[in-house]
Amino acid sequence: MGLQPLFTGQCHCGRVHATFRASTPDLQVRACQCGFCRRHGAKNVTDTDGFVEITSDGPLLRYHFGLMTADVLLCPVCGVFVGSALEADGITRVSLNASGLAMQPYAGSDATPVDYSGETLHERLDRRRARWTPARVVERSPV
Amino acid sequence: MSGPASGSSAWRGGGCHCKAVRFEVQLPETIEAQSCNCSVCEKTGFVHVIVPENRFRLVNGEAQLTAYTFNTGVAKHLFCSVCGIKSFYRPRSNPDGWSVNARCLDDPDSLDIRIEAFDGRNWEANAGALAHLSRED
Repeated sequence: MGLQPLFTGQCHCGRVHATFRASTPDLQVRACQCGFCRRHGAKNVTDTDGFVEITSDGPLLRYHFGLMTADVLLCPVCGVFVGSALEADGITRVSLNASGLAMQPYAGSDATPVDYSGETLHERLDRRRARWTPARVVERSPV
Repeated sequence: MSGPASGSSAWRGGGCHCKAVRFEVQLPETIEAQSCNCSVCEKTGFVHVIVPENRFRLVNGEAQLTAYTFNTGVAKHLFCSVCGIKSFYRPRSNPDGWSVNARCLDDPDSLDIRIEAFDGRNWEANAGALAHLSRED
């Protein structure tokens, strides 16, 4: 597969972990300018040829807004914004918030501001299908 | 050193993303803010505007707030249980005041916010420099 670089991160309390196998370490880090991402100071990173696994001890907090196309994934204990997820064509795809996960090197990188506010529903879905990272999101039941 | 009440002040609104949590805070025209590099501020993207107790009022959303504590437990990190946004909290550096998130002020681009770096990774050595911000002049 050649998915070499492996990056890891977690929320503040440690309930939610993420691993990110990227196809290349040279990924663009984006600062989405929507009101939600700005409030979290988010730095978004995706790789359509990579793979993400998000593991949460217990259920994630899920939030929806705007065009309601994605689940915003939050830690219910410490409130950290982990990333966003959507299901498309039977595949889960996510965009990680490298800041919330303190996932280096992306959390410490300069982020390019991006404004998606003019998108239609179809443009938004097409962009996310083309860019977001295939993923598995696991919410473990408490033992 | 100028405090948070320098210059002509006004009450400004702010809050979380889903609008469950709304606050008002009395701020000068030029707003001093601190960007902290500690573990929790980095992950929440919190930019501090620290004010005395009576210059902040929670307008709405007390029931939606979740408190998160760690380490000494003095700081009460408060976030909206619907959208996760930490719009204000009770800081360990200023337990007699509040710290409002500059990112959560209404229309932040219209405000004159001066952000300085705060080295929260060396909190014990540096927190004293913030103590005056929650005192009335």
